[in-house]
Amino acid sequence: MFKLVCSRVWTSCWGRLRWSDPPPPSPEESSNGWQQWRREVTARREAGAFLSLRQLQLLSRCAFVNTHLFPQVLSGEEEVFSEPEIVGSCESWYELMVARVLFTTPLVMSSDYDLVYSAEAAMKTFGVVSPEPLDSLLLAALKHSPLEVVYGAKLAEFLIIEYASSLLAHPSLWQVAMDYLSECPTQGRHHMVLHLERIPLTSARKAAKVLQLCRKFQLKELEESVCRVMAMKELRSGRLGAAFSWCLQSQDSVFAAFLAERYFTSYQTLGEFMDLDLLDNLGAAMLISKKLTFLGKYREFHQLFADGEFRPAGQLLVSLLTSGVVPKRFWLTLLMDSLPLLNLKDEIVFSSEDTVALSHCLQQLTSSHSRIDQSQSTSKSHDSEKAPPPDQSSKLSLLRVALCRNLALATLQEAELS
Amino acid sequence: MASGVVSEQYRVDTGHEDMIHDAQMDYYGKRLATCSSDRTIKIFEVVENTQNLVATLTGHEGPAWQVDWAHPKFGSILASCSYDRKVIIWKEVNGTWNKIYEFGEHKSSVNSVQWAPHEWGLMLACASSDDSFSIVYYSEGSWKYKRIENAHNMGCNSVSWSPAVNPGSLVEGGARSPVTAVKRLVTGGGDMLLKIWMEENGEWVMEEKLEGHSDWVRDVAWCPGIGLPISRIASCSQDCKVMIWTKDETVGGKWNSVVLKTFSDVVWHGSWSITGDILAVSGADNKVTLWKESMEGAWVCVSEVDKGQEGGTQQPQIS
Repeated sequence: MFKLVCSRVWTSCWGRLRWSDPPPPSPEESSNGWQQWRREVTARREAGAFLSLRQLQLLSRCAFVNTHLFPQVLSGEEEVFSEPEIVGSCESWYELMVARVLFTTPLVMSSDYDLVYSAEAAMKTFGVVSPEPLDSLLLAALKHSPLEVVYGAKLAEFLIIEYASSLLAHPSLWQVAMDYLSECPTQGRHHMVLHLERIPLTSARKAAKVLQLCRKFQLKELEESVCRVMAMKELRSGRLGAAFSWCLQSQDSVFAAFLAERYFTSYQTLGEFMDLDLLDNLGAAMLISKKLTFLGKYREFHQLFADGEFRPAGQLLVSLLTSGVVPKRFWLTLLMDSLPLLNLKDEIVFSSEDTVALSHCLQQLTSSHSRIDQSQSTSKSHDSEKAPPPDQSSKLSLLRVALCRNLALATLQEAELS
Repeated sequence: MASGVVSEQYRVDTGHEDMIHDAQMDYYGKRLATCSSDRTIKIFEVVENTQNLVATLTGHEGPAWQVDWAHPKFGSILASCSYDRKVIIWKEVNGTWNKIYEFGEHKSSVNSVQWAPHEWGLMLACASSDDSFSIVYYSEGSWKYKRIENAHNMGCNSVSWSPAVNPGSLVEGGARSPVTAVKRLVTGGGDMLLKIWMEENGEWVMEEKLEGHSDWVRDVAWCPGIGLPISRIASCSQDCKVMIWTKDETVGGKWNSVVLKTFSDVVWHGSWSITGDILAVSGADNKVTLWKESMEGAWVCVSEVDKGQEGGTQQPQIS
């Protein structure tokens, strides 16, 4: 009723100020208009114009509403808003605040701090001692304080993490929990990683599920870790090929290098390749690690040799040794592989350049051997073996002879051709 | 079970002949190790809600106080400490458990043992009643140790490593917080103090001293971190109080404490869940209680387990 009366009186007064209809007044115009309105209302009130207003009299008689304060409200006097009748007619502090702002400073902008001041004053008048969450939220919104308005978002995240943690206890709902955790922007990822790490990888299927989640949420490190765990399990059972397949799933170059070395060492001891089909079908995966590339190419060399393509095989061997892809400890094996090619009766596989390159490698190998043993003999006082060991020295001498012979033959051939 | 509500409990009949002082589950929650006053350590395989004994490890000459599992990347390794002044490191190879190292440099009962975060290598800390604590680590093919004397005046009762992530690294982005190079741990002693130690140039120095308890500190537990700029330690004491010590890097980096609760009897042990949001506390009042921090910063008890047996509960475990 109060609002109705006010709006009627307001409209009539507003009309008298004769504002143009469109366009809406500029801030200065509004401000001036507002000041004028205030002055008029105050003047009329003091002159007693409102005392005889019929509507107000009616109200005070019928509804037992004390209307003597209405004019003061209309003229926007601050003090009237602390009167118990006005405060009592509002249901909450923000109602009081809105009324106060409407009648005292209706042209206030939301960026003004006045709003906050009004809000706080209203809260104080209303007797709000300890603010409820809603009150703090409103106050924060008025202050445009992002951290506090986001309190709502923090709460949401807290609740989601709580729920997801409870799901994790269930044996088959952990995947759903991960989806929930992915919705939490700040802490979700860490919780995901911590929990996924601890899922026992009891079977290949379970590991595959974990890997799928890792790929979905781009947890590269965890993906590599899971593949390594599975590969090591296979390795312990001697299944090098299966270990490789796990490693290639995560494109883990460090682990691939480790496995390639293991593979080559087993070749050196066994004299033959294990799990050939994996090696043959490496394809582009070869490139994730230099050692793996070497292994793939080495296998290719053996295939070429077996197929009788001696020239390409020889070229491949030389390129492998000179490219730096092969670690030094495998050089001897590769050089020994060149022996049959060097000793071919009817074909000269290596050109003189190639032969020089091979001899260079041989030289590096023998000099590094002697260097290692020199350092060993100075560090250890007891007898050390004369390097290289006997069977190795015979191998080396064989190689030297073959290389020299080949160099001679190749040079002759090249001289003939030119 | 990292949940806000304890959903299920199982009783495990271990077959120990005397009091059980500690029970720890391994990284994947598949195995349980228990140690007892009967000088043995028992290892169980836990499947669903049954368990079967896999091994009994003998070698200690006195009650074994604590056990701790190392990170699975090092293999199946377990450390145990005992009244007989020794720390024994056990390893499972092809299904059989063997002693791989025995550390006997302490002059009195070793009360607590914990493996460091795996990012720092195979390393453990142990606290002894002879007022010192030691760091035992495997490096370059052999076991080495560093002993820090006169750490506490009336014996060191407990030791706990800090997490390996830098506080505050989470908010800087990235899925995994970078590993911190500075190693820290906290010890609690009979002199009612908690001391925070850090490794500086290869030596361990005391960084901070935390006072607040009025009786022996029985257990300390450094909360696992996920990179938020907050470090937190829980301490349990003979004065029946559990205190939570918090250091917030964003507001000055000083340690502040709050009393979680004053219980009716001595509090023996505290343990954090892996994500660091739930604290389990057990004491001589025969109860295990779970506590969680609410959004406003108050600690609320979310669950209570009544063991109902004489002697009180010693070690709650959250995995």
